[in-house]
Amino acid sequence: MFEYIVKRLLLGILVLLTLSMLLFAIMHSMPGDPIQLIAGDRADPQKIVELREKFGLDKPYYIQYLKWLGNILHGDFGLSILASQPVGDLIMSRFKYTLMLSGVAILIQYFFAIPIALFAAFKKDSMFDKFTVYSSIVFWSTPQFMFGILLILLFAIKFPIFPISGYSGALSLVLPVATIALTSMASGIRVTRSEIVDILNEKYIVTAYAKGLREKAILIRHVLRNALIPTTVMFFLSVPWVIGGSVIVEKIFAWPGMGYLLWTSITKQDYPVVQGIVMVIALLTVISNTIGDVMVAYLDPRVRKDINGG
Amino acid sequence: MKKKKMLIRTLILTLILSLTLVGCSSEDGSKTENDGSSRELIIGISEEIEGTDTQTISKNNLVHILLYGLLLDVSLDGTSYLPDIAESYTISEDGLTWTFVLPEGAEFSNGDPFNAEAVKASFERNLEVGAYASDYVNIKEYRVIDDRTFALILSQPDPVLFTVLSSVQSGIVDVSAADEMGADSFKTQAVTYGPSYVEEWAQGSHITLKPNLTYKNFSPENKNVGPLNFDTITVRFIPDAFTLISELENGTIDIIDSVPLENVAALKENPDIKLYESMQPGASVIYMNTKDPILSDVNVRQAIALGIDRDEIAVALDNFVSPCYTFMSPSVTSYSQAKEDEMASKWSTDQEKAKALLESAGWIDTNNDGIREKDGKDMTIEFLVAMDISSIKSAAPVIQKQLKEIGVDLQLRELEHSYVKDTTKEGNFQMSTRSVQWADPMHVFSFTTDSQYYSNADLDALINDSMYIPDLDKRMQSFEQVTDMMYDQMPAVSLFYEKWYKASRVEIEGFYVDAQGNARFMDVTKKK
Repeated sequence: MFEYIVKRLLLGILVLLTLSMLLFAIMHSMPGDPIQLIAGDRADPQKIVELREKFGLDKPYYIQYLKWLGNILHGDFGLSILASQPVGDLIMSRFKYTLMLSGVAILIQYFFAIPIALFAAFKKDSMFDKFTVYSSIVFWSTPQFMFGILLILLFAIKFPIFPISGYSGALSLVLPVATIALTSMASGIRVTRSEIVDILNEKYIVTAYAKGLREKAILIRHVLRNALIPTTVMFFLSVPWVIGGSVIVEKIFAWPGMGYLLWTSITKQDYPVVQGIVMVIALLTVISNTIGDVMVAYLDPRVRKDINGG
Repeated sequence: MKKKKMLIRTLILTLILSLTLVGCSSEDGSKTENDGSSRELIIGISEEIEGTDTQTISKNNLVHILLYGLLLDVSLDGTSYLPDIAESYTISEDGLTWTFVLPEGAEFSNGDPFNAEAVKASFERNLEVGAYASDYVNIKEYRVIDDRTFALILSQPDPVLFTVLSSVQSGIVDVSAADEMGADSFKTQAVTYGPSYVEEWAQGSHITLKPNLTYKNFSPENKNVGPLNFDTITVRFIPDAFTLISELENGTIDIIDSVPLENVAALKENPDIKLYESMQPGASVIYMNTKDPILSDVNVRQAIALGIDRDEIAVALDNFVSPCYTFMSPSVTSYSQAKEDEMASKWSTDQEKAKALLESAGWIDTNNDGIREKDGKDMTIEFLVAMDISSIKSAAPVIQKQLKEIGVDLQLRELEHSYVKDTTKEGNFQMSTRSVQWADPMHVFSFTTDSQYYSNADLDALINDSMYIPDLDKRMQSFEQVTDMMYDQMPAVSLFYEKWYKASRVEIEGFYVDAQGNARFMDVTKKK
């Protein structure tokens, strides 16, 4: 197992290295000039030259890339072109808000998705099951921006219970969290439900019933444990977006998180910030995927057997 | 089992109680004066500031208007320049000495004295770190006459300085504080002399401003000399237009800086909202590459200008733009209504004349497909459109349709405005769009000449001469000649200027917006 984890992490480093090259190439081949953008239309040519030197953009691309990569290895993501502040500081200042928003959303999402899916699958074809299936289709197919706007219209304007936007305490979390949780929960419910329905038809479940095991024990010990395998994968795949933030939701709700920062940095061509955020998301994707794989191996003996070469 | 139930009940009760407490704490706790006016103002803007130090940023907005006092202020109707932070100002007869008398006892927001030495230091820092140092090129000396008197000594008369000194880029900063704090730190919490100062900038969320109690404003158009009528001003950054408008309509925001054009009609109908209209200083313009094989012929360029119906564009854009023939709106210094009327009568759309010009240039539709050809090549032109400027983006298909009617096949290519600007400067284009925003014609025309796609030494000389004519009437007449020359050569087509809107709640009184779109806050009060 240890060898497997090391192998996955080494593969992850290779992925990160490749991504860093691609990211750098894409960002620097984008149309437009960030220095011209921050300097303005009437800027003196000499000032433009000075700014290019300040941000190291006067160097050949390969030197810029190697310097950027070297600095990242020392925890330095560079200086934001727009804000003249360290990218690491900018990311950290937004991190808590994104963690608050997406973290609460993801926890609520799985806290409700699993029991609802379990109950719907167990009561397959009942009214509850049908309602769950159809409503999750509705939530799944509703774009987040539209759902967010609907929630604002209903719960902030028609019935002014919650603030429309911004962060001003716990109440301001409700609408953006609901937007992310409800639209994302639908996929979790559908995947987990269909997995449980399949498992309920397995012979070992029939055997368990035949052995006279209590229904609760069958559902938790045999059904849920097996059904959690794809759900676990989904959970760990979604973790990086807890950090990356939900760009659309943060924009609609004027949430001061990393998604909003990423959006403004892309539109302003602030290369170092975009590169910094994407690299953080990529790193977390690699780490959480590895953890997800290990968890699956723990939950699924067949996978464990494959890893151990048995 | 009972214990478990008790625990769950306690947890639920605690959750409800804490949510209620949070709800109560976020209730409107704004302070109210005895006369019923509120001491808190909340403003919404769509774009976060780049920084608070106006000398190191390229784009300013309403936050900077609140942070910086200026030596000059444009009048509300945009026709004259008034004192702002100076008690008075005089310009010598030869136009070479501009003298400003500063207020007594004024202080920067940190308590440092605001005097002639401080103003001089601020200008000198601007020359060193500012991106627009060339705007001050004709100032040969910043002279401290006494503690309260400061003079700019010019090497030649420079009327562009009216626009430069009344622009936020010339706002006064406390240089000793900047040196102490360092440039990067100063960028987030600049110490300024203006109506307010930065208390807190929560990046991505809002900036909280407090009034500078020693600030005085001497514009005769303001009733309140100072300080501001508020204890706290919060400027929130709300990027989504729907959310921004909803906050205003809901009464949770008092003023918004920029109303998206698609929301103007609805807000006009709302009795709780006041709208403030102003004009884009400058204009939206089409540039044509005179070195392009198709567009190198002046007849073709003039035909394109005649093929465009600006009135139809204005109607298509719900009249949120006004047709413009002289490359500038009435809010630009040296604007000439007479020249505008003359050019409108000469150059308003005339498809028959446009077709005749194209035919004389050898472009004829030989295969009857609706597109003209010459030497076996279709008259197909790539048109770079700034997709992030909604008026230009919406006008482009209308222009495409209009030019199709005279046999020109316009291929639209939508790109970011910054990329369109760069590509145009580099000369890698056929036709492109540009939205110019500056209250002096200098900028409008300087972009057109001496470039990769057009150069004309005579025109350059005329623009340069016009720029430095001290008499504003004569200056206007000289720019009329520039306009004539532009039409003779037609390297660019003047299209329209945008109408800009700000909005406030009806409870807001004393909020004014000048002709160039700058907000005035000194007289603002908010009735509860």
